[in-house]
Amino acid sequence: MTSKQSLAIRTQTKEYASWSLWYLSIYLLIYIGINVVTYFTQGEITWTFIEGSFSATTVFMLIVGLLSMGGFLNHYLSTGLTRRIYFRSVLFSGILVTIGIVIFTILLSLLIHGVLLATGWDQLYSERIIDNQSMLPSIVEALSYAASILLFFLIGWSISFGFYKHWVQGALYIALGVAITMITSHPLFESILPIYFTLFFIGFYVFLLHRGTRTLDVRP
Amino acid sequence: MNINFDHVSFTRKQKTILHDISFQLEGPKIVGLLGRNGAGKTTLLSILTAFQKASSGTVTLNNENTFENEHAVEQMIFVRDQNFEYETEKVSDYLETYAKFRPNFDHDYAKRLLKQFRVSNDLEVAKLSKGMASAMQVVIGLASRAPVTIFDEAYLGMDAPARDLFYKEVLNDFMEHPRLIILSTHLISEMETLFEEVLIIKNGRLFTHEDKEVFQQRGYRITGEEQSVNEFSKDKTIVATQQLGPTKSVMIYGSFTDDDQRCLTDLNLERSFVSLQDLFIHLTEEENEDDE
Amino acid sequence: MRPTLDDTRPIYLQIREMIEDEIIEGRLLEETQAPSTNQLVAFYKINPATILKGINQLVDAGILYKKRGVGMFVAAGSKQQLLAKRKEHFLREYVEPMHKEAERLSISEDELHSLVFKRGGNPNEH
Repeated sequence: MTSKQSLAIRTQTKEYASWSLWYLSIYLLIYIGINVVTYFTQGEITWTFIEGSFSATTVFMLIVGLLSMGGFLNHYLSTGLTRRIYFRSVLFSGILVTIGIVIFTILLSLLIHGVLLATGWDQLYSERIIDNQSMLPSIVEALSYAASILLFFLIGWSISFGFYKHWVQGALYIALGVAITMITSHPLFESILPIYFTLFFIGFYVFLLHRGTRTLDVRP
Repeated sequence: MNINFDHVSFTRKQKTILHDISFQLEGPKIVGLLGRNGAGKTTLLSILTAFQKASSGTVTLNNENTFENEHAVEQMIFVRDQNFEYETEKVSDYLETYAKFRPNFDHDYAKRLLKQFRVSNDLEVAKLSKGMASAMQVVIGLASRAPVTIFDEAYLGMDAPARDLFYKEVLNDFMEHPRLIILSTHLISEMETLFEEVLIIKNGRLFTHEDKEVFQQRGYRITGEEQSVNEFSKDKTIVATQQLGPTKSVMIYGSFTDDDQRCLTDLNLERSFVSLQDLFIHLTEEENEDDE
Repeated sequence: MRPTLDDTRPIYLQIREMIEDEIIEGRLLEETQAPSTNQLVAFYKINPATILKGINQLVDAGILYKKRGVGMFVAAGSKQQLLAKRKEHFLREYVEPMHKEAERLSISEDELHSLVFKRGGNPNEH
């Protein structure tokens, strides 16, 4: 890896990380707010940090992906970098941020759970949470969670890639994204190791974006 | 620095924008890339800087293909009109995003230039006026000190004093840090003294590439009595004609030989020099009339 | 120095003539340093190559010479040389056409003489 490549990855990751910190802080505030409300209305905590973060984070990563095309590619070329460096930087940063968010989410869950245990407020967990033991995720759950949000990031990136070329292609990539989301979240597949499906589609998107950005025209 | 375009064509959506262009630029030098609006100047530059890929032909920088070549593209900076509508960063931070990837970036020089252009470091890029945004880009272009520095109509929106400062700084910095500078423009009269060479693009084709003075001296004006002027110019390429009563004046494009000089004296005609701007305007007009 | 250049003649020629004028009019003395390329570039906003072209012609003509590491200097005897050249030019471009025109207008030699030294006064003046 050249020094410019690693500098580009660091720069890109910093950018995504700053967006992620904003997102996580807002999510944390909303999480606390909602639980305060449910405590006063229902007298219990009905929602764990990790449960809620899954759907919120997929939307966040979809948007990060959507914002990763035109402006960034143009900026990379403007600063004397190549499409290859752009592609690798966005991909690696996407992966790094995914891992970062998952670890951060787990740590925050642990912290929140710890605070609740220490204060005795864990008594407030709803029955559903206690029955499912969903206060903290298992390793498999964390891995599949990571794979899913990475997939959403790639779906977002592919959609903006499609629109960058032509609006028809953009629309097609939206349709493809919706179809893949339905497949990977369908209960039929969820029971039979969904992580393989997710990994397969991740590979598919990486291949597609790699091929697609290799010789892409950039409006100067 | 050596840039080589070898039979380069560029076609998109069944439309050929550049036709079979070949030329070589050898730096350090300041080159004027001239052409009317839509002639293909920006396309040519975007192929050079690998924003777009030539449909055929090869483009090299120091004998290396430029497209997707990390080593080649890092030596070039392409300053052009950009949309900053969504750029919420401050000017100083925006400069930093460029400086990071430009090993020769001179921060002190950038600061000094920004001050001279009266662009405040703390302003949001999106809130800059057109002239200020152009000035900021000129600063990035100069301070990056890329071996190949390209300004494509970089003066848009700048007022006269700012443009004057831009021209002055291009020359100053070129002397201190000699490199290949390409200035693309259709405002020739203001900039013609900056060029050592001109590269003229007309309707997607290379019209000429030569030393500016040599090119300029190919054009001259002959003035005198109508019949004498007609006699003198009968085998020559006339690009413009003016008449006032019995006096006729023609602009001729072509060489001027010793025979021509004798003929001129015999016919009692006057020969005068034409500006690059005049020559350019008439040469590009002529072609348009032929097309119609 | 002339404040601006015009676009009716090649610029390198104007640079050359400008330096010649400075020497002829005594503002630039022999064996003193001529304005540097950098100064001229900054003053006129002209490509250094164009300026060098003008200066090199003066070097070739023996008007300027280069002192290594210092810059361009005005050669000894350059003023005389330029004056001779300019006189020749004056004869060809002003005096000869004037004689031609005088002949055409049937102006006698005496009349021409008095015209020239009256500096354009009107002979038909009452």
